[in-house]
Amino acid sequence: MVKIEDIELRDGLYYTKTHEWCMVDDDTATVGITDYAAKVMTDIVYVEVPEVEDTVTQGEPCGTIESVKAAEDIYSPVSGRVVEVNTEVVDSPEVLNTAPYDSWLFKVKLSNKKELLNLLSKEDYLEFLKKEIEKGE
Amino acid sequence: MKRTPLYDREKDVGATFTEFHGWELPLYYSSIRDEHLAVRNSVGVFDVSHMGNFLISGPGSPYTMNYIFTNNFVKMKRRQLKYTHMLDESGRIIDDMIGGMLEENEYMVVPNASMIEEDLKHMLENHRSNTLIENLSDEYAIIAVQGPRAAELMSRVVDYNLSNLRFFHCDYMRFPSLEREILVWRSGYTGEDGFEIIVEKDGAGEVWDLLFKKGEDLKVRPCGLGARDTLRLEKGFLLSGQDFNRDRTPLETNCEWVVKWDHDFIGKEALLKQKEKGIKEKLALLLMLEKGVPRPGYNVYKGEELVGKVSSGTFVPGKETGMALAYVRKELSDFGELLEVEIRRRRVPAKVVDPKKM
Repeated sequence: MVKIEDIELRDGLYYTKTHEWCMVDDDTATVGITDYAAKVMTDIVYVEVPEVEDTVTQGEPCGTIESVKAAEDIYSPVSGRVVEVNTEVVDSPEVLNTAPYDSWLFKVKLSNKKELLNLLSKEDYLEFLKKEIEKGE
Repeated sequence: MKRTPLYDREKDVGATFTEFHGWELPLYYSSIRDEHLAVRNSVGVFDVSHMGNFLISGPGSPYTMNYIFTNNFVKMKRRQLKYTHMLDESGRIIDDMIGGMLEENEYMVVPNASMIEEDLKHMLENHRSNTLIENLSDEYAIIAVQGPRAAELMSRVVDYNLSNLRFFHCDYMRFPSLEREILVWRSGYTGEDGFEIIVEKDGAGEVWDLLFKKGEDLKVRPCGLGARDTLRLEKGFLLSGQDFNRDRTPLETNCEWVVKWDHDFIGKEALLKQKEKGIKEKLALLLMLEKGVPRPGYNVYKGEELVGKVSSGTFVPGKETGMALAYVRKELSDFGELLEVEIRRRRVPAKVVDPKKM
């Protein structure tokens, strides 16, 4: 059972209710999945991410995380053009199980910076997770 | 939801639970991968108390067994076990299970949890004279000890020479520290050597504790339904309700070996007709040759042609690739056949493999 006290959250990131994080540097967002997503999935074995030059849309599926037991969509936290993909993580997806914040998936050149207003802060994401975990019990 | 007598112990060691046919059962403890590998490399312990226990006894019981089941329960030795199918009149599989002859005129079968009521009804409607059929499912817990070091672990908890108990045989064993004699089957659902301890519910906790206490140096792990599924799928074992659901026959599931044609059983006539006519589809075990995890319902292709569908699929730890059971056209079900599984609009190559070599 995933316990709230075991879940790591990092400062300086934006979060989504679908359990992605992004770090924004000027007009580029670096995207990954949260520790909660990794802990709930457990045993991540494959990851599929968009390709460079693909266009992604906020809230739309743009990839897949596959664990031993299930496949889950990755929803892009922002809209824009993909400028870089982390092939190391694609080749060794098991790193997502233990270091999801150090294992970014792809970088997006933002097409609309105002979209960041739709994302959660660390504190709000933590509150959201508490409710999610309560619901599950 | 129903809970087994081991629920609290499982919760204490961090189990993540899932609902499985009305039962709240451990899906995994820390990792399906680690649990799978523990069973392949050393030993793992599963709580399979959700499975049923029927006792079939009386002078008519051998005839009832042979009429209801495809395998032959007359031509067998006391304390032997056999895997069998139970068919309806149309030859379709109602359920699959292991049955054992405990004594002359006394058999136990272990049906799947989801099928207990339906199986019991079918058996009560079709038994021969002088047979008593009792549903003891609520009285027993079952603990499965599985892996290459299962015998080593068991030898530390029972007063019994295990080299005298061959695979697919059973016996009553004394557990000295518990002052109990318990029925133990040497069988399992993982493809490894192993034991299934059929213990009265009130003794289950003590057996569980003893196994973990005595198995510490063997790194014995508790294992959940997740690993149970990856382990059985790697070996091509069927899952009731998933790989067949009142829609497939033993010929289609590639299990003619559990059908003994030397006796009359329910569904025999229909099955013989199908054998004469030939089957269109057959269950094949697929090994993925590239990245991608096959899941139930995914389509199977040969070239541009749709030739089958996945009934069970998962990633298999150790093999580090996906595997599936899929119904495919019979002529494409031979070992070595190259097919493709469609995984999210992508065709991923797969090979039909021999379960015995997995």
